[in-house]
Amino acid sequence: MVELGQIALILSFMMAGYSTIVGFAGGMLNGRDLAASARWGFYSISPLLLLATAALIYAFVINDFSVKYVAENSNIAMPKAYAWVAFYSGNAGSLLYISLAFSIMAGIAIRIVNSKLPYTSPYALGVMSMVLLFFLAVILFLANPLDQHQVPLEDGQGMNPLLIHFGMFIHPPFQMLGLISVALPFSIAIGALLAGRGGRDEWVDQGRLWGMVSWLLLTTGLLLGAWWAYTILGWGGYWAWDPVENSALMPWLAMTAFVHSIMVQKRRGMFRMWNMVLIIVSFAMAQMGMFINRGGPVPSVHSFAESTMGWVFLAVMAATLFISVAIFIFRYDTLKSRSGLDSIISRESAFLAQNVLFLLIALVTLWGTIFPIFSEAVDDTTMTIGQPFFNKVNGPLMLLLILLMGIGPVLPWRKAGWVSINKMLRLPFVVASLVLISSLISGITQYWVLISFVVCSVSITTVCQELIRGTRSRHSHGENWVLSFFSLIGANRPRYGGYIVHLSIVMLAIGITASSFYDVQKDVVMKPGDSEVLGKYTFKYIDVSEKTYSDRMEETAKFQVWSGDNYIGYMYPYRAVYPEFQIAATRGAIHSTILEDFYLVPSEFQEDGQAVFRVLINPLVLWMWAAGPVLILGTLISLSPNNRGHRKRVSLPSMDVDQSPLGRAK
Amino acid sequence: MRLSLISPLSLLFLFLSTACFAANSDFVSKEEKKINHLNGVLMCPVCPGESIDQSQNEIASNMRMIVKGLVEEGKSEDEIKAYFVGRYGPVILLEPATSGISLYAWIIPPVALGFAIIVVIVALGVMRRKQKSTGPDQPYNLRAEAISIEEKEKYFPVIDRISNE
Amino acid sequence: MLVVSAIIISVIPAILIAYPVIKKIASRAPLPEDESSLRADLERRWESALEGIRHAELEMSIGNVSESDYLWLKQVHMAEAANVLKTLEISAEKERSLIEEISSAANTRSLDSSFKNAHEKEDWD
Repeated sequence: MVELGQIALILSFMMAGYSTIVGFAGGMLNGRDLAASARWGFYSISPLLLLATAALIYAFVINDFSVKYVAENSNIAMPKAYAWVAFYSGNAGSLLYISLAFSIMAGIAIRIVNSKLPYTSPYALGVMSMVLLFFLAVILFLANPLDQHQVPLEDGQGMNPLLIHFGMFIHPPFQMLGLISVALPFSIAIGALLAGRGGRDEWVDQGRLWGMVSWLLLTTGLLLGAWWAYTILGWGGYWAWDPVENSALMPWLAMTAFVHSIMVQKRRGMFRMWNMVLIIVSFAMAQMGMFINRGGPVPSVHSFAESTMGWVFLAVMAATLFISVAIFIFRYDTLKSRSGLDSIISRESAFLAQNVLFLLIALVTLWGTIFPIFSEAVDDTTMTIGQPFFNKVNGPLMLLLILLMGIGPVLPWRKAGWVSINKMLRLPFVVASLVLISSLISGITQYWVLISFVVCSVSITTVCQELIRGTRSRHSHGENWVLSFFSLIGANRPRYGGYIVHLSIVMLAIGITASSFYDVQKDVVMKPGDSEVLGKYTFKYIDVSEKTYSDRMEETAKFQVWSGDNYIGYMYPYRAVYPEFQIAATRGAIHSTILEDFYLVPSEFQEDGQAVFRVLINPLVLWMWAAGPVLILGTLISLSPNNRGHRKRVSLPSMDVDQSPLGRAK
Repeated sequence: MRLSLISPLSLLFLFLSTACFAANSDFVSKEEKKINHLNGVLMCPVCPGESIDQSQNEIASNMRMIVKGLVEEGKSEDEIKAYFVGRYGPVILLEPATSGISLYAWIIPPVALGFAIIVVIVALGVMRRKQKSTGPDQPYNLRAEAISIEEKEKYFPVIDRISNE
Repeated sequence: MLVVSAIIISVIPAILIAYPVIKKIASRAPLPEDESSLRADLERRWESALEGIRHAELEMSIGNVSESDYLWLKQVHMAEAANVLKTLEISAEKERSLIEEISSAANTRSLDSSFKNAHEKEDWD
């Protein structure tokens, strides 16, 4: 089975090479059969990789410790369900996972691209195959998960215990999927540039589609990561501005800018150059993420410790950047905008400001992340920059973005007169001032919180105003309220889906603001039987129970908790010690309400049952997690094909014009 | 409709503010707040990038004890930071200092912001001028305003019909 | 066993890449519509102009824009759409005259120069 997997890997590498060469050749020679052959060849890669993956997972299941990767990442004690997690929990396996996932996604993408953009697709296929070729080359020559020992080992080293958790099943796969999927819109964009056949906006629809798919995956990965950190890692926080977190955030920021500014190209034929720049930057940043994650220069808790291949990724990132920029410059003249700006005050300007702001945040984050390298080079001291810096620098910029998110979407395209602006922005500013007053009355004095609430209220009000006005307008045509609400959204999906996403971002912002400025934290020492009070919560430490498993020892504390006079119930925070790894993992116990989370986490247990607990009250955290489903829903709505639009696609009136295509087909 | 929107939204934020205020009441002493703050800005020396607040390492927990002790002795925030810098070097601070090499960390972001603002203004100006001087690009160099009245009469009904379908 | 399965998994991709070339499935199919042709470009412009009109009407109906802004927006997008139609007519005209030119050139046996002409004509912007 392992040997068969190896053969499948080698074959898929050869097929990726074939698709690269023949794909580009098919495009350049306009050989449609060649292009088809390259495409079919590419489709054959995912079954082959699936076979290799099956071989690896099978090796995990049967505890085949002759496979080095299996020996390094599992042991006999590991539950079998974790074979899937172990598959991508190490460096080599995660590369295989990325290749497999990318080959499937790219296969679907290229099928659709080929039907919509037949003359661009061979080049796009060539670029996608090249990306895949790189990963497969790294697997085969640098980190092969199916490599075997001469003599099989008795038992494996086991998986890092911090990874043995339910979250591991969902967060890393999404995160890796998100990072690699940036290659899809990138390939389509570069493919269109390479094809360079006069038109400029052909790739926009496909670029937007796959850009949003990638954005959705990245966002989901980030949110799941934050949720996982919060519920599991046991320090009561969800985001630490760690280098690896930053490197996942940067491509997200750039992609967010991209999925917005691509709309301007679709509507106005503007920002052609800028969109190319954005997608190139996004892909470079995604590669940067993989570089930092795989033994890059910046130390992080997330990275694959054993890996030193980061430099390969850095070199490839530099090469990608160089080649992309070269192609960009080569095709520079085709990328001029179709039209200019009718007025400075317009949707287009808001989009530009938003784009630049997103990119600025990404660059500042990059700066903070690589600052240790900079200080090392200049001053010989490795200064690590942490959370406080990023909060102080990025926080205000993000608030500015949220303000733009409130104003931008209601500015009309092209031109806005003062009357229109007044119509749309009066109400949001009235609400904002009311919110300011009510916040002041209720005792909020931190000015960053005040600013945040005010800008959030502007955003929420514009969205609600849009939804209410639209529904009312439909209602006045005779539909009932509910029907008109849904038909409003259904008829303009990109627009209203976008609004729903904005709403979820505001929820996220409110949660982040409240929980980072008004969290309460206290370390308490307690003996069994002790009671303590924090805020309205009373908690009684009943006892601690120990349980020994094959790989770990768990100490679980039992608490009785009251909120005011209401009895909440028992809470069981625990701490697990893995003697083999000399690692302790704590799991907090959380009582969530819509207003605040009550969070209990043990830090140390002593012999007599006395223990140190950290108790936290984090306001409005639930809002952040609730934002996730809302965001996914909104994205799916704005992605879903619009039936009306579909029917009307080729709706140029025939008049008495000759229908024969005026194509410049060679 | 105005009232119907204003009041629920204001109430929503009033509700949110209350949540914050409830959490903000002074049931954690000043010392504890200071300890928490210091724990957040000191780095755990063996787990780079993590603050001692986050880290579950033994060194971090010892450092938390030291911070607690120093705060209880009545040392000021700067004194405590200085103490740790003396022991571990400036690397121990997660928030870069505003002097020496670390100053660059703080200077670059505002400079970049200024640069970004200039870029936006210049780009908007360029795009605006393009529209004023040449108008949108059209095949065969047609101009939008070059549509004559006869052409309007000829084309506009067709467009109206189709767009209302 | 291993050899047999190895042969099977290597034969399948080989068939997949050989089949389109041998059978010439792609070149037998009708020429797909060119996404970069003038017509495709006009279609995109037409769509965005129409989208602009509909958008302006939506904004007007829900009370987001003033009357004057609405009229201006509608006028601009109507003109753009009209431009597309006009371009279509011009290009049809050109095509017709091109065909005439070629056929007359064929009669006077100066085929080469008129082909050169035809290529210049195709540069539509």
